[in-house]
Amino acid sequence: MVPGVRCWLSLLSLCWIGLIQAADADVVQLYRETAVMQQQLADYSAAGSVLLTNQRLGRSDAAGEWLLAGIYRDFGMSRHAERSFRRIIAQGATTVQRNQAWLALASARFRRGQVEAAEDALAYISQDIPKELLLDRLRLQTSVLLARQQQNRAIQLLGAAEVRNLRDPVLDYNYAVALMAVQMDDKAFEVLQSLGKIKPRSEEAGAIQDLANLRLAELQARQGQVVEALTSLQRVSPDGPYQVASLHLRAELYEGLKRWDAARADWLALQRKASTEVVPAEAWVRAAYSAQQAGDLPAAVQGFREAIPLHEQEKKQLNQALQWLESNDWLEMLDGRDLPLSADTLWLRYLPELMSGHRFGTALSDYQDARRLDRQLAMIAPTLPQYQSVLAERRQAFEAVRGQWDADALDLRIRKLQRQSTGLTQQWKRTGDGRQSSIGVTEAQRRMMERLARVEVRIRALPAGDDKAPLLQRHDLLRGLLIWDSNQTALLEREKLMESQQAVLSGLEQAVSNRQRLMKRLAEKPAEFRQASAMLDAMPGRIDELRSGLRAVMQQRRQQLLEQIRERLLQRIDELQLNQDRARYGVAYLLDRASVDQADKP
Amino acid sequence: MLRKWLMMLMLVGAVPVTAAAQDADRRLEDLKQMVMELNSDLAVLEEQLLYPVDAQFTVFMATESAGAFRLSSVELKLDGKLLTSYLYSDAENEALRRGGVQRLYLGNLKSGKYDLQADVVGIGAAGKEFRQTRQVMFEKEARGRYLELRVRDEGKAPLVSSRVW
Repeated sequence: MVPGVRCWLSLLSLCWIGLIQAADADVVQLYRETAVMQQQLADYSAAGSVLLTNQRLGRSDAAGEWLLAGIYRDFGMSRHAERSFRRIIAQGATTVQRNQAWLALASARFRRGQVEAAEDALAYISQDIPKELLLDRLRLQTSVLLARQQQNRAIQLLGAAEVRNLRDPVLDYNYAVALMAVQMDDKAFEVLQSLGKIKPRSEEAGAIQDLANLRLAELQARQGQVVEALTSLQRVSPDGPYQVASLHLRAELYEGLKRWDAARADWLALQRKASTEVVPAEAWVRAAYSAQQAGDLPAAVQGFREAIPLHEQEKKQLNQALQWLESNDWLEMLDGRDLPLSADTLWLRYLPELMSGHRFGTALSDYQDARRLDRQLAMIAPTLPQYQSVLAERRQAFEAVRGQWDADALDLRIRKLQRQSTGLTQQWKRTGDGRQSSIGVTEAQRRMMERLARVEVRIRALPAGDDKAPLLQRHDLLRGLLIWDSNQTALLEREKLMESQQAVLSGLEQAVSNRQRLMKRLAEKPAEFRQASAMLDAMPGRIDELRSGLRAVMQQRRQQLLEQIRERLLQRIDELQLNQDRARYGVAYLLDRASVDQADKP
Repeated sequence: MLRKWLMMLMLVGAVPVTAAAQDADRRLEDLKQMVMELNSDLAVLEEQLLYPVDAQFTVFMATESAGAFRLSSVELKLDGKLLTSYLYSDAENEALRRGGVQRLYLGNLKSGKYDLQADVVGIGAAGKEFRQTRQVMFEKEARGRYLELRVRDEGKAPLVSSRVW
């Protein structure tokens, strides 16, 4: 290969940096699945960034767009999710895809508390959907109806035979809740009883079963069926999430039956759970009260007396926790990890119920998202000088190669090809119009022609006679043969000329096209470098602006969470104070009664 | 514990939000999108500057496991020289099992013939250690090359396969 051309090609190759190579469908899929990896690691920001990058580097497909919409939904970006899902639907999605998109959209809206908008999205889902989707739709639809206090519509939906046949614990439980809300206790009773006796297939189903038995016991107690209520409570798991509520209700039911020893045993059992669970503040006072009612006055006095410092201590700890929360970074502790119990972590025990609430859950997840993004940005900032330095290196490398390349060499080559082409064209024309008879004539043919010309002159110089005419005739014949032979040779030569001309023209066309492309890239490359440099220059500003926005969000959400936690802890302090007062009263009352009894003795 | 309470959230449903809360949601949503775009800007720049498509060489790692297979580590050698190595966490194993693919290596290669060796270590059924070496010979031309390593565990002994594009 000509050295100039090699240099030219290597430069072309350098200039192709950044050009997108059409990616194979399998490779596109692999890139998409790297986003799935991030999604599964719950790093939605990274997953979204991967998909946006894939789109920009030409390695995206319809499935990638679908995935991005799902990531927006999972990352609490319901508006972006909606836009993406709508685009997918508008692009002619299948019915199944359309249903999935609307369901995902409804779920995203519901998660953000946009209940009516969630209901609107649900309305777009067609009725004939597969069972998996049907279950999700029904669960969401029920939650929407219950959140909107539309119990009758929920009952109508969940009471339908085809829904009942699904035997889904969540749907059944919500059905019972809706029935109880409109005082359809008999039907609710039936649903809860059936739900409370099924064999749970999962932890989730077990928890729902416990809850169903608890609600059933409440319903039975309300209807005066105390013995049946106690039986229902026996089915609640002693170490499940409803163990405290179950013991609490049972102790109250025993009190109602005036079975004071049994009631006291349950209140004491609740007290023992205080090391791992938050138990009702009244457990101490009511255990003492049960002892009092059972006639065990010393145990009652002791119980009341023990409650006073215990409640005092818990109040003190909670007040200290309130102070600690004001000035410490406690949000890290809400990551769901099991932390060892200490003075600094005591307050966490009071939160599970709060954390199950939408307001707290949303504020916490927003805070955590904002904090994660802020940390990502903080890590990017120190790497920016490296990008600048790589960019400067690439720029220098480009300038160096561009400097080595002699533009005139390429133009010279093009001009040479043009000259060759012009020469061939002229040669072609000459062979065609006969102006140059020597074209295509061999040396032997040329010499023969000259000899014939000389012979013709000599024949014509002869005096007129009988033998002159035959001589001229023979000369003409020979000349004719010679011309015919020359024409054959010329035809072959013209064909060769044509082939050469085509090769030269093709080379010329290629050279001109490459030159144009190269010139375009050469012209664009500095602009690309400038653009990249400008982007990097703007990056610290973008990062600062984003971090400041994220920190404002974090501050706002932190405040919202703190208010809710404070409210919860203060509520507990009030409960403790009330029961401490009751305990003091209990002690005073019993001591007073004892002294009266003593005085009454003869 | 948290899961149980989250499950309760599903039972009790959501609470309608106020207009102010919706504004705050919008603001956070926009910030999230802007962070994604910023990350994407840098990723595109990085690929264009450091890994031009005609020189790019990428290795992806995937698993397909119906059983107990768990990936412990992968070591890649190119023509006998260490290219990269990676240790896998439980979370990453779970992500791979759920259809995720890891971009194990991204670098540049000149045109030519290469010999890649992947040493895959994992834990199979009944806690038995699994070790397998996969040798891949390939030719790099003046375009991007992509290599996928995939561990398949369909009940029998796991198998490492490879594909090159």
